[in-house]
Amino acid sequence: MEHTSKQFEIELEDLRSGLLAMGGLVEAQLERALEAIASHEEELVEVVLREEKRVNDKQLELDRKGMEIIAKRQPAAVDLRQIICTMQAVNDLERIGDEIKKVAQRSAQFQASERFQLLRLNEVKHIGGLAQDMLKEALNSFARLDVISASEVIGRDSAVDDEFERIMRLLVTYMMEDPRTIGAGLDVAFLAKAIERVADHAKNISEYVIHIVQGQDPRHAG
Amino acid sequence: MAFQVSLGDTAVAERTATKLKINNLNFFYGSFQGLRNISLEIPEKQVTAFIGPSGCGKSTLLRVLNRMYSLYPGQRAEGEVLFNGQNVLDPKYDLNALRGSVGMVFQKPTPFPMSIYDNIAFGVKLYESLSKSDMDERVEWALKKASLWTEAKDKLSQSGLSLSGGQQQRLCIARGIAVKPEVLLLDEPTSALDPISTARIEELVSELRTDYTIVIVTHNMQQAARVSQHTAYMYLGELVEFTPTAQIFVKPKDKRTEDYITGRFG
Repeated sequence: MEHTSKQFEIELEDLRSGLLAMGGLVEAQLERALEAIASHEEELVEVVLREEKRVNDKQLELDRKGMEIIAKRQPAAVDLRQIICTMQAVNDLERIGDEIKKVAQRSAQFQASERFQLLRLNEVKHIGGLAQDMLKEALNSFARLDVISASEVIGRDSAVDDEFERIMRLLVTYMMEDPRTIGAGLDVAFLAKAIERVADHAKNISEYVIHIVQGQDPRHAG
Repeated sequence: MAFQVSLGDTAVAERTATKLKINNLNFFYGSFQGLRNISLEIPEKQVTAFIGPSGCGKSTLLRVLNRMYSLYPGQRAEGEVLFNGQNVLDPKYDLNALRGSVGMVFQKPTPFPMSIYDNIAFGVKLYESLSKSDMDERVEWALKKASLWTEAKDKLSQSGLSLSGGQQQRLCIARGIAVKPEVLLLDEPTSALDPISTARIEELVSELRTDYTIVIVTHNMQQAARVSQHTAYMYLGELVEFTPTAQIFVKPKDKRTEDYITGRFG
């Protein structure tokens, strides 16, 4: 059922579509950053750094809108959960933006042996793809308030964690073999970590979907 | 996946003894049924709020609790309202004793056209015969409880009607508690007051809770959220939901409650 106040309805929709637009920006950023890892194109890196500012602006705008609605409408129940969770999701998207910035910056500096170039291309690309899919599905489930697909995204996070662990073990082996590779190894480790964090934030966004719809906060539920 | 409902500390409103136990209550205005089969336990020394759209029966329910309805012909209640274990709807129940232990404050301030002092002493005299000094003490105690003492102490002999609206309402609350009731019924006590007076009354309600069981009817849902520990949502004479307040405003159990409190009504 719709709100008696049409204006309230419009404000909520505006906040929701704002979040999805911000999600679109962040998705495009991740795409560029992952491409920059592969192509080593400096221009892409610059675009990522420039676009990050737009993501930050969007965060400020949506936070302001959310606060305005709360102040004006004193929302309750599902509306309250929707607004609070949207603002939290905005926060997660902004953090994803920060992680992506790290990925881009590290890609720009990357200088290493062929072995690490390959590692970077294959392993990081793989974990990047997993995180990308999670983010996309998380945003889709938020858009449709789809609890089933949100739960599915939450379940996928452990695969990303496993992948990260696997990369770490690989890197440790290489670095022990040849200490000269430690610098490059750490670079790859930081890249992988940033991407693993992207997946964590995507998981958070999916958890908000469950909180909005079911009124139960699934965070830290084990 | 098993998720836990976590609503913070306030969600678990402390369970205390039941002060008023309503069993299968039906109420009729002539042939019109105002309340349908209400059963509800009002906990002692807590604030219970009734919310719902106009005509849902929340004020009617409040008026049954001290049998205010019996002033009007053609109105009758069926069922039980147990107050300390005794059914107040029983015609043999002493109405004077009931009004003495279940006080009421109305939407519009209704001070008697007499002095501030007498406004309070009047009710006390009906139940107790106090010496002048004891009565002075009681008046001061009631005015202090209602946080009106500092404003009124120098004009106790002035008419109650000379006070502002918010002060008049606090005077009515002072009058209500002066007879030391066990339950205080508040029927939209702040709907005619400005925000500051409203805040003071709400503050007062929170303080009075340590000594009294309070039942408040309000159209202002944020007020129910602020002052009560339990909230009942009523609709068309029925009790839809009775839940700890912290829960009802975050995650109501019933879809109809959710539609009402989120403004999706009608």
